[in-house]
Amino acid sequence: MSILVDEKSKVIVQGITGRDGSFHTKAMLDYGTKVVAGATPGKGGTECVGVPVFDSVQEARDATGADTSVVYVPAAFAADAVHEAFDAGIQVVVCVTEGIPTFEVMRIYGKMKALGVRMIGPNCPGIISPGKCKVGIMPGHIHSPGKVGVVSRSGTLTYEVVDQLTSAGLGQSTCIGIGGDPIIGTNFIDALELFEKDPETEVVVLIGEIGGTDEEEAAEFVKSEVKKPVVAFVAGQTAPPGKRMGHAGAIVSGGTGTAKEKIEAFSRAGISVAEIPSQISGLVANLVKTG
Amino acid sequence: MATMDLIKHHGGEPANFLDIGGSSSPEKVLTAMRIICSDPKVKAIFFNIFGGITRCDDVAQGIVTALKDIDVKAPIVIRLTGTNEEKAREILSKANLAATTSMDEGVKQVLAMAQGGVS
Repeated sequence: MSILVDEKSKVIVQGITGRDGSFHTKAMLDYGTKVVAGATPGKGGTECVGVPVFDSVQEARDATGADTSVVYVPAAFAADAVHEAFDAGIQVVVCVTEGIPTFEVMRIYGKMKALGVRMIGPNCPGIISPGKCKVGIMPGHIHSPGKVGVVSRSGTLTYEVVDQLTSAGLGQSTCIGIGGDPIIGTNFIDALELFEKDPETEVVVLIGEIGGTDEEEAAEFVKSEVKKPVVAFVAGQTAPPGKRMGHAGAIVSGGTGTAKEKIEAFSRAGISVAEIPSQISGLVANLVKTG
Repeated sequence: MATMDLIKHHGGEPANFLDIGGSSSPEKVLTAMRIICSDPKVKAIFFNIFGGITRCDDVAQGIVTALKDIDVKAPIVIRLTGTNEEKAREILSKANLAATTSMDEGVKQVLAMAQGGVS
C-alpha cells in the first residue's frame, strides 16, 4: 500500500498547456502516472503531450472518471481551479502553485473540510508513491519503493533526503510535500495519521522548518497517537528572526516558531532529530526492521 | 535555508540567504548573481540546486551568462542535481565549469575557498 495516491489513481492536470504544466505532465506520464486528462478553459478538444484537454474539470472527470487533480495554474487563477476541482467531485487536489493569497486559501480550506475532500499544498512539490504514481514536480528517478514515509514542508529538502534514503537502500512508501505556506490543506498530523494506518509504512521521516506551530502539534500527536518510529529534521536553525526565509510560512515572528523550540518539542516526544540532513538516513536505517 | 544551516554547522558564515524560488529561468540566476556580487564581503559563492520545478539547465545557463556579463571576483562552487541535470552538466562543461552532486561536499569545497581567501 501507500497513502493518498497509488497505481489506480487517475489524474487530471489543471493548467496542462502552460510551460510547467506540460513539462511536468510529460514527466508524470514517463513515470507511469495515469494522467487521463488536462483541463484548460478555451483549449477543450485539443491535445497536450498526448493527453486530451477539456475546457473544465467537470467535463474531464465525466469523460475519464478521474479522482485526483494537480494544479499548475498561475497564482491569480489557482484558487478558482481548486474550487472547480472540488465542485467536480475530485477527492485529492494537489496544488503546486506558489503565491495564492492566504485569504483565498482560507476559503478553500473551509470548503475542503465541509466536503470531506483533500488538498495537498498549495506551494508544494506534490505527492509520490514510488513505482506507482507521481503527482507533482519532484524528480521521479531519485525515489525507490519501500517502507519509509516522508512528509515535508520543503520541496528541495525532501529531494535531498529522499535521494539519501534511496542511496542508502531505504525505499519510500509515499513522500508528501505539504507546502511552505502559512495555511495548507494537509498538515503533518494528517500525514502522520495516514502513515500510522498504512501497513506498508514502517518509519516516518518528518521534515519541518521555522514558522508556525505545526511541528510542535505534530510532536504532541506523535507522543499520543503514533506507534511507528519517527525521525525529524528542522530547517532554519540559523535563520534570523523576523525574516521570511524563502517560504511564506517560514518566519520566526515574535520570538516563536524557532527551530530550537521545534527540535525540543520533537525530542520531548521521543522523536530522533537529525542535526544535519545527511544524518537522517542513518537514523532511519537504525529503525527499519531488518528482513 | 538548510544550506545556510549546513554552512554554519561546518563553521562558515553565510553572507546572505537567496532563494531563487520555483519555476526557473536563466534571467533569475543572472539577477541573483548581480545581487550577490554587489556585496564586497562575499568571499565565495555556492549554488545549491536540487531541481524539481527548477530546471538545472536553466540555472547552468544563468551561471554561464552571469560569468560572461558580470565581473565575478569570488570563486564559485556549483551543486546541481534533479530535473534536467544532464543538460546542465553539458552546458557547464562547455564553459569549463564543474559541478558536484553532494550538498555536504559542496559546502566543504566552498568553505575551503572562502577561508583560503581570508588568509
